[in-house]
Amino acid sequence: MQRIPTIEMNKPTTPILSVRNLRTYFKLEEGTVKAVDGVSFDVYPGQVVGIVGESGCGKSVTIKSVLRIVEKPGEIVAGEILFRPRGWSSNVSDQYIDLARLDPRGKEMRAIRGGEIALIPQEPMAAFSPVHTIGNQIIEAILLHQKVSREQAWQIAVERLREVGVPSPEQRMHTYSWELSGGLRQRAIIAMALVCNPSLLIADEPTTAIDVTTQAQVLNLLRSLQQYHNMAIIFITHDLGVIAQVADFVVVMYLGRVMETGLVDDIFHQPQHPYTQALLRSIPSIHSPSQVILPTIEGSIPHPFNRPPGCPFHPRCSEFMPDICDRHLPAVHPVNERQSVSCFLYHRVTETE
Amino acid sequence: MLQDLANDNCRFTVDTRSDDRFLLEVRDLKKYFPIKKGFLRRVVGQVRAVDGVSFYIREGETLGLVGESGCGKTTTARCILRALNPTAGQILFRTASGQIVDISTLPERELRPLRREMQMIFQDPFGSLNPRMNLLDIVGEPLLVIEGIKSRKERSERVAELLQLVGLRPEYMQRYPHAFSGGQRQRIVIARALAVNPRLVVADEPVSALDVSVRAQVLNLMLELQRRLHLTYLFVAHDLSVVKHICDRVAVMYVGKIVETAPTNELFYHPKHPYTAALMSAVPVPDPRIRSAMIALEGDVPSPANPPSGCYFHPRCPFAVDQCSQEAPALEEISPDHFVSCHRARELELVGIGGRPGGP
Repeated sequence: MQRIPTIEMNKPTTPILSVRNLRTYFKLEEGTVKAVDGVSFDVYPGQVVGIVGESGCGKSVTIKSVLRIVEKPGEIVAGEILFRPRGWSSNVSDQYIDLARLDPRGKEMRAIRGGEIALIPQEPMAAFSPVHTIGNQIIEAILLHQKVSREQAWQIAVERLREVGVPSPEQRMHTYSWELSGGLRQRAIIAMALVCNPSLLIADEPTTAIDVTTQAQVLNLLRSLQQYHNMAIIFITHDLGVIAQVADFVVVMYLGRVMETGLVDDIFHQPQHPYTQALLRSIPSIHSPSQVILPTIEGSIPHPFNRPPGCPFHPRCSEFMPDICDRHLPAVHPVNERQSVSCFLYHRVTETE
Repeated sequence: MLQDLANDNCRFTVDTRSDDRFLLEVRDLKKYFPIKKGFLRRVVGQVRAVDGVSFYIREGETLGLVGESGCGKTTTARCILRALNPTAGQILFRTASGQIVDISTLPERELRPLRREMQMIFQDPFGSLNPRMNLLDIVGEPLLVIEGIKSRKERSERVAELLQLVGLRPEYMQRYPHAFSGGQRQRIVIARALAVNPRLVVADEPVSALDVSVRAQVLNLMLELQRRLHLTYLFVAHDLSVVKHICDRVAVMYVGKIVETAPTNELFYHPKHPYTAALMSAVPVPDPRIRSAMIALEGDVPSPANPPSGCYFHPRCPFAVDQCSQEAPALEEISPDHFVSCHRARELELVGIGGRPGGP
C-alpha cells in the first residue's frame, strides 16, 4: 500500500478535503486507462491548492472524481475522498464523508455538489445554457440548495454579481450568456459558483479560454474573494505562471501520478523531482536571455494505453536509473518538512508493480 | 501597365528608407468584413478586423505579432499570404530575384511563383494534417504542386531530407499523422512548410496547442532552422514569454491597429504605449516571489465592428486625456526602430515586465 503523505501535519486545522490513494480508471475495449492512479493530497480551509500538469496527467479526472461527475466508462476503483461538510466540528477528525462511497446521483452528493463544493468550469461559453437568462440560471442554483423564496434568490444573485464586479447587475440578470463578453461571462460563472457560499471551490483551468488582460482580472478577483470568504480553492491549470501567482500549495502531476507536492515557493525555487525541475527549466522565462536554446525534456507524453512500467516519467527522465525506475513504482514520500516527492533518487524501492 | 506603375512607386518608397534588407513591408493594411443583414443581405456595417496596420520585417529576423484574441493578428497574417484579399493597403515583398512586388493586388496567376517564397505554420497540428495522407504525401505535396517534382523517388528523397531536418526519422515516411504526438506533428507541419525553401515563414501560434514540456523542443527547432536556412519569421502569438524568447522585434496590436513596434528588449523593459505596459503587467510571472504585479485593465476589448472614437484604447487607458477620445494618434517613430501610436508616448513613464521600471 502507498503511504499517505503527511502534509503539514503541524497545521492547527484539519483538512477540509483529503484525497487518499484515489484511482479512477477508464475500462475501454482497447484496455484500461489509468487516468488517476494513486493520487493523494490534502486541502486545508482557506488554502489555494494548485494542481499542475500537462495533458493526460489526470488533473481534470481527479477533480471530476471529487465532484463525482466522471463520465462512463470511468469509475473510481479505489481510494477515499474524505470531505468535511460545513457546520461539522473541525477538531474531530472522523467526521468526514467519503465522497467515493456516495451514490453520484444520490441526495447527499447532490447537496454537496454545488452547495458545499462548487465548480468553475473551463469553458464559460459551454457552462451557461444559451436559451435561459443568466439570472434564471443563477436563481435555479440558489433554489436548489437554499430554502429561500424566488424574490430572495433574485436579491442574492444580484448581490453576488455585484460582488464579482459585474456592472449594473440588475440588468445583466436579464441577459443571455452569449450577450456577455468573455470576461463578464467568466465573472457570472464565478458568481454562480459562489451563490451557496461553498467551503471548497474547484476552478478547472478557469482562465485558459480567455485573454491575458482578462485573465489578470479574473485571477485578482479569485484571490480577493478567497481572502474575503476564507474559502479553500483547488486551482487546476497547465500554466506554471498562473500557479505561481495564485497557489499556496502545489501538486505536480504526470500521467495520473503525483510527482511532487510542496509549498509554492519551494516548488518554484527548490524543485526536487526531476520532472518538476525539467518542466521549470524548459519554459522560456521573461527574464532569461532571448534566442538561446532552451533545455528540453526528451520525447513526448506517452499515449495512455502505452503507459511505461515503473515510474511513468522514466523514459524522459535525465536521472533515469536502469533496473530501478523502469521496474518499480515510486511512492510519494516526504523529502523535508514541507515537500514530498515520488522518486527513487530520494528513497529506496518500497513498492513493486 | 498599372502593375508596373505600382511597382515603380513601391521601389521608390522603399528606397527612401535606404535599407535593402527589408523582406516585407506592410503599409496601412486594411481588411474589413461586411456585416450583412436582412433578406436582401444588405451591408449594414463593417468589422474592421485589420484597420491600418504598418510594419516591416528585415531579412533573417523574427517579428512577433502579439495581441489579444480578436485584435486582427491572424487576419493580418492571412492577408500577407493572400489567403484573404485585403481591403486596402500595400504588402511589399522583396522576391529572391531582388524585385519588389505588391502582393496585395497581385492576380492569382502572378502570385503562384511567390507561394514558394512564403509558407505558413499553423496553430493546431491536429487540424492541419490530413489524417488520410502519410508523411510522404503530406510533406511531398508542396514538392509536387509548387516545385513540380513528378518523380516519386525524387520526392521521397527530398521528404527524407526534410524529415531529418526537423528531427524526425525518415523511416516514418509511410506513417499517418495519428501515430505522432502533438510535438512531432508540429515538426511535420514545419517540414511541409520548408519543403519549397521559403524565405518568409508565417507561424500562427505554432506552440500554443502544445504541452509545456514539448514547447521548448519546437521553439529550439525553429531557432535552429532559422540560423541554418536564414529564414525570416513572422511569429503570431499571444504568449509573451514565448515571444520574448524567440523574436528580434515585436509589434503589438489592439483592435485592428498596431499600437507599438520595438526591438524585443526595448518593448518589454521600456514600453511606451499604455496598452503594451498593461499587457506586460498582466503576464503571470512563473515565480511566486513576484506577485501582486498584475495590474488588470478595466473593461473589455471593444468590438472591431463598433470601435470607440479617437484612440481605440482610450476607454480603458488609465492615462487618457481629452485629446485621446477625439483624435486617433498616428504611429510615430520616437526612437530608432521604436514606433508608438499614443498622444502621450513622450511624457509617460511606464513600467515594463516584472513590475520594475527600466528592466532587470
